[in-house]
Amino acid sequence: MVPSLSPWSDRLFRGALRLTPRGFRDEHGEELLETLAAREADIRTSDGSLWTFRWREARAIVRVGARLRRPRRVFDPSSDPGGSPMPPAGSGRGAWRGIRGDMRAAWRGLRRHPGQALVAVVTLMVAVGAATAVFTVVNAVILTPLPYPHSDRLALVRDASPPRFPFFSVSPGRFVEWQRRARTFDGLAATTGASANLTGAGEDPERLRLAQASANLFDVLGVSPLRGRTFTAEEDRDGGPRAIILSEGLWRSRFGGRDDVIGRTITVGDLPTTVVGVMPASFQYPSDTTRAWVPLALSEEDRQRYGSHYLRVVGRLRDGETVASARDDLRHAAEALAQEHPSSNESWTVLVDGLHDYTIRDVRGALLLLVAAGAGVLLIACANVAGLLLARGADRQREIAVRSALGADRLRLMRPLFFESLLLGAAGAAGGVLVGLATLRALLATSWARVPRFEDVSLDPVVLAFAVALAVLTPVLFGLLPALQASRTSATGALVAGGRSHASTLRRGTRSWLIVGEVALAVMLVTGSALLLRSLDRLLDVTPGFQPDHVLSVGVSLPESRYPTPEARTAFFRDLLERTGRIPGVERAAQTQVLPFVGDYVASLEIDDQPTPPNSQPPTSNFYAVSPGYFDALGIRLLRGRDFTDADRAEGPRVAIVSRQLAERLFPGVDALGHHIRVSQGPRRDFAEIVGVVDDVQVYGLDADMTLQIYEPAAQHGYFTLTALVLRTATPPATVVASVRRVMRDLDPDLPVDTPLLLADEVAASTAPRRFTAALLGGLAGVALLLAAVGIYGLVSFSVGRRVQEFGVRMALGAAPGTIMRLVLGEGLRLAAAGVGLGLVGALLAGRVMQSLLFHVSARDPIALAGAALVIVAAAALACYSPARRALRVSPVTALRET
Amino acid sequence: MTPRSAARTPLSTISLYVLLAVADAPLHGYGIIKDVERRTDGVLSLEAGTLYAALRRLQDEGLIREDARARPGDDDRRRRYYRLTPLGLEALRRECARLADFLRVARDKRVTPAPHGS
Repeated sequence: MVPSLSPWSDRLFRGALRLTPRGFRDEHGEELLETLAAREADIRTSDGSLWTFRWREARAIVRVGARLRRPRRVFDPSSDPGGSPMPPAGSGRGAWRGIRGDMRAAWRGLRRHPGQALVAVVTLMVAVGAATAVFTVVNAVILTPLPYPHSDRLALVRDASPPRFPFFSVSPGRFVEWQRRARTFDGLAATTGASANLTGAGEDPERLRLAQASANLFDVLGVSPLRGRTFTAEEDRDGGPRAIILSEGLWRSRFGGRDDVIGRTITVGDLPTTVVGVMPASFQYPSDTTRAWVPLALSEEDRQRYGSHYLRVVGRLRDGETVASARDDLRHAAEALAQEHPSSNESWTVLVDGLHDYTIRDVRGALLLLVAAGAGVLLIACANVAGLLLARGADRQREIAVRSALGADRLRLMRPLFFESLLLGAAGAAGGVLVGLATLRALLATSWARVPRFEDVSLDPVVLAFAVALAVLTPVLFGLLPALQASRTSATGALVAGGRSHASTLRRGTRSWLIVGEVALAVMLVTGSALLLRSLDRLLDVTPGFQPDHVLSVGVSLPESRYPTPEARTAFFRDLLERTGRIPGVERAAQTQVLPFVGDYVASLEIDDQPTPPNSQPPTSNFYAVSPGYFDALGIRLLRGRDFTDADRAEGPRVAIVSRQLAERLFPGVDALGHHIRVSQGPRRDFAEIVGVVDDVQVYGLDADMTLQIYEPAAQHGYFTLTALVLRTATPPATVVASVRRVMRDLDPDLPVDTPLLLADEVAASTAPRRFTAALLGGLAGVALLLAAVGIYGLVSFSVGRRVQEFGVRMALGAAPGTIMRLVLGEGLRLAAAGVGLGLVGALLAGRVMQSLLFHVSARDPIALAGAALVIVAAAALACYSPARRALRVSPVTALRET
Repeated sequence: MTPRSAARTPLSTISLYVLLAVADAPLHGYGIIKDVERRTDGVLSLEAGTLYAALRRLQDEGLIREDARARPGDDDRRRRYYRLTPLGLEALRRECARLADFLRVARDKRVTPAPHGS
């Protein structure tokens, strides 16, 4: 009984057989498999290497297939690279037939070396795909203007008080002054975020994310409403008629997209409000989560407030003005204001930036880096294909020289080569478009939500045209170069040299330089991605100061109409905390008015026995009004003193807990406990005693500078209507959401439940752009590495092929295998070393640009540089291994016979 | 390609070994591989693909043919046995004679030692 083949072998050999001509396969296929099964059984009993056996046998079948397919003809004019018979000049149809003939010849030419053709096509495909995807993202984010008419004339105005506040929101008092004093703007508009409960209409209550906007916002941005109108000046006045403009999303989801909603009165924040307009879906200012707009309606008191900064101000530049001239204009205004109202405006200045520049500020550097990386990969691929085609050209050289000596028309000699190159390029470009589309889809599927304008990305025709042109032109250019050169070589020279002419040596020189350049680019890319990975590693090592896992937060907004007093609000929260704390799976329930990584609340501090000296700014800190148990719920460590308790009530003595850095900074050398401190905002003006010190918390992200924090009991700050319920759960947080909703509905059926958020998600999202950049650059670096290795492999194996004779003679003369191995490896590694040297220099030069993207890692980080060099050298050695093995297998006899 | 011209062409190493393998008795593919391996002390180990390409060529040239009767009843049905044709025998004889001539010249020139006992 004959044993059967192992599944692996069976699949492999059947696959290989499929490459043989049908006649052979039908006739001998089964018989062959049976023989192989018997052979495999032998290998198993003799402990031979199964994989060596599989490899050898599969290769033999493939080779036999290729040999049998080759037509056995003595002279076949259609298969020679000289091309089809030239049609008579001037005959249109003949010319077409000639081209078709050439295309066929080119196809056959490519099929003669399917491996080479495949490598070239795949190389182009990968590079064009990767570059197109990256360029498209960058193009959409950086180059495409914002969706407002003449958006280049929109500028963002911010306040700043360096060095404490390198940038800050604008205070209403200053906004009013800019509106009055600015000469370079057609208009300045302000917004601030808010939220309110939308109730009634027989539906579940909904918490709306709103923007309070000055009436001129829509004019300044230049966007008209889809339905109705925008705000009137009357509505934008304190105590004016209550109006609301809906986003198209809200209009469709909540009001069925009906036109009669205009003029209707709905209940927003428990107050009757008239719907005056609907904005189109494309209008997403200030953010894509804005569901509706209400008037800013600054009060007279607001208009005098210079110290409370919470507005986002955008302006439209007057014709002929630039961001720079507007900056000068507002700086002068700021100086004048500081002289008139020094107490609250001194040390404050103003920043003016193009809105577009501002929108992409955080990702610009990363995206430009990716553009450079994409271009690098494209260049490497082109160098590879160029090298491959130069080698092909060298193979043909003798033949072309002879034909041209025999009087063949040079153009005619070129044509098949041209078409071969064209076919390669076209196939590579077409494949590249597909790869690019797939990559882009994959990129968009990742949750890089925090990257501005990422939703705008689509495949860009200009980018595509560029990449395709490059993919097609490179092979054509480098395919024709050797032919041009060869047609000028003398036939005798080419024949005598046996194809190893001076010209081919020169070309090997060119190829070597291509490889060195490729390796250098790959080194730069690998170094860059190593640096990003190391800085990501450092970033993920940063502890936020709390444990975000298993923390769920739900925003709660208590309408003032039904919860008018701090007591009523405090009572509601006491019930809410008690009942949610009893939900199975909830370990701790607590309350805060704002969460780190989600929002902030900045206040200035005063210390009881240390009055702020004149002409100096009071220290600022993040302020939190929290319930007892907040530190437990977030996992913030209590270092000294005590946590808040239920005894810290509104009427009791005021207490505060501060962060470690606050204690160290403001009470150097003394114990902060027992000292008295107060925050500037809020109606309570009495000082609070510091009763505890907790660990520092990162408020603005893992890579942000550490700030100071102060906590006070929420019960003593009942004036906050907008707070968050924080739950630490033992089970996955999502499992308790339904119970939380039920509890809230029981307590107040008209209270909307905001979308719960997971603190761990927020922390992860804050590192998403860095992770995304690292992943993308890592991918590009991987492709670059692979392509460079393929390039080295191609060159070294080409050169081994050329030196078969030399190796044969050397071995016949007694050269040890080690010597041959060294010769081959030496060639590849010398090129790699040169490339690595050049690449490291490049990486060091590029370091200055890189540095801004790194976190606690030097752009000259020796580990990243050495690691990249090592990886490249290892890849180069690996690429040389197979050609070296082949050189070792050269039998002296064969080598000599081949001459 | 005509049989005559085939018989006159010097045979490739593989063809020669395959013809020698089936010279005394019909053999199947696996048997041929083992026979060649044994007679060359394992130096020449044919891949199955190479072998069947050679078998096909030798069949085309009329030097071997399939021998359906040679298969024992209990053998794998996929197995086919090959035997030498008279033309194949003739080609083999000529090739051996050519090689013998070759060897004689080499001995005369003292390139290779004479066999023991002569």
